[in-house]
Amino acid sequence: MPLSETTRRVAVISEPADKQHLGIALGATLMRDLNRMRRRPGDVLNPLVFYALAVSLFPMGISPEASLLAVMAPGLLWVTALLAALLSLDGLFRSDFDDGSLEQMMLCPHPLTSLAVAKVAAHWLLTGLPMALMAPVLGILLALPMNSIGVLMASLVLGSASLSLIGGIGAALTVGLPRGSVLLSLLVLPLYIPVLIFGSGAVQAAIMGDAVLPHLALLGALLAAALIFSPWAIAASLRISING
Amino acid sequence: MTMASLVEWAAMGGHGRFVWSAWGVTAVFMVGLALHARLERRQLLRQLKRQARRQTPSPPRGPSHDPDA
Amino acid sequence: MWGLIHKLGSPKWFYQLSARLQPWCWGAAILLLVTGSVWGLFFAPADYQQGNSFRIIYVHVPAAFLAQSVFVTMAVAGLVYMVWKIKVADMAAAAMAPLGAAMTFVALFSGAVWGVPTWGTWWMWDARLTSMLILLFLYIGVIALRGAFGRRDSGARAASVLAMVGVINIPIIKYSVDWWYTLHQPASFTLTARPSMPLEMWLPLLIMVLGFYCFFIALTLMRTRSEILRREAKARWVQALIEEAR
Repeated sequence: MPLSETTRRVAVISEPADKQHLGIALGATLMRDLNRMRRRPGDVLNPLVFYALAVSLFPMGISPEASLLAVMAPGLLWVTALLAALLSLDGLFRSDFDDGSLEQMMLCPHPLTSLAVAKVAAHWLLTGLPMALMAPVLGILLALPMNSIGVLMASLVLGSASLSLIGGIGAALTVGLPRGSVLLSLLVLPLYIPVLIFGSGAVQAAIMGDAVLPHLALLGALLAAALIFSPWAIAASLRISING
Repeated sequence: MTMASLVEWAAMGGHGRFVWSAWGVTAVFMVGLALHARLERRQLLRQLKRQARRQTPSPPRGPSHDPDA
Repeated sequence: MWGLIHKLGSPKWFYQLSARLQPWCWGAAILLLVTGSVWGLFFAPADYQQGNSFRIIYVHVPAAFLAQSVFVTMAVAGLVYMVWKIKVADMAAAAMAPLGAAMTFVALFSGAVWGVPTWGTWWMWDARLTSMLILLFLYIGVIALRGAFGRRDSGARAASVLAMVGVINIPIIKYSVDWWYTLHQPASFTLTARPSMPLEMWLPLLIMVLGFYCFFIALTLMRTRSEILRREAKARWVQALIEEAR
């Protein structure tokens, strides 16, 4: 039976390290995770449906009055995005942990940090980016002023990438633990707070007509810092989880 | 320092319950932590002694320790 | 230099050294705390605006300082453990975490209580208190993570990683919370008194801060020593110690 393209590419990861091969290894890891969407769409869609559902709960729980919703909207959209991201993080490393692929990644000659970034990138493409694209519609539901919808999307695109990176640390630390997902939320939410503050601050600034760029720049700075520190932390945490 | 002035001091100009609850909680935690640490150490030493005693007693090393010998 | 560090890393040497240090630390702590308390509660003048509730500063500020310092110390100890594999560093980190969390809670409680006569409210989302609350969650996370692993060294390494990640985040969190607070509360009122505190007011505060730090060192030494005994129970020097103690 002919091997699928993905399987052939994944097999490349185990071959001796070579500069060309790192690129292929990263691409293979990325594609493998993206293909998960084809095989188990529920895993990917659940957090997005949760996002829409959770946002819808607030008008029902608080008040449908448009002026009140508009004030709360930036924060609500951001906080629920955080929670939806948390929901999706548990599955980031779990299936690989369960079937042993994580150990293979650890043992292969390619740096675990790079492979981890590839997985986080796939997570962002499947969760963070779709949430950012969905957010304008949800914003309209919450009576968000039209002039801030673009900023909402931009802040979520930038911010959700940080959320995926930082959340990856928590996911890597708890992947081997029973009921680790509860602990995951506890570990990751405090670290999310700066992203939340600047993200919703950007949207609020847009509503008020204030300068938006400083907020987005800070979000960008947070993303840069996350890109520098998270890969190391994720790799170290994965090793601890696999060994422990 | 008369009794009246002591009571007056304790009342803290009406802010007594705030000052004393804040200081009280602090004291409870600090004293509690210190006592707990001491208790933990005592219990640990007792447990280790018990474990050492349960093992077969080692034969006397070198000259006998018997003072009557 | 390395010799000293490796010596300190030996549990036996640390145990013996700390045995000599401990009484001094406890003595200093008790002396400083009693002096500072009596001074702060009795002799320091009441604040012009806040009256006697100002005296809460003498527990709130030291607790807040400790809350932050202990976390940083814990993270440094975690780094030492991860890089140089010195087990005593991890034992100390495990020993100081509950104290740090307790101090964070004390800072939050005293800060909230202070708010009642000052702001008329039981809780205020000001920058300091909000940062303290987040710090408490970080502490709880580290403690919970350490305990969640079946193997002790896995839990130790995980807690070290989290503490290091947390310590990098603390300044970021403080900056963002500060910024967030000033945006929403332009007339910000800081919990500590105005910087120009007269000598009679900040000298007892200094004494209390020093006393709290001595307490932290003394308590951590004691708990680390217990942990050393626990882990090294089978070692000959521990057995000899127990023999002597009979």
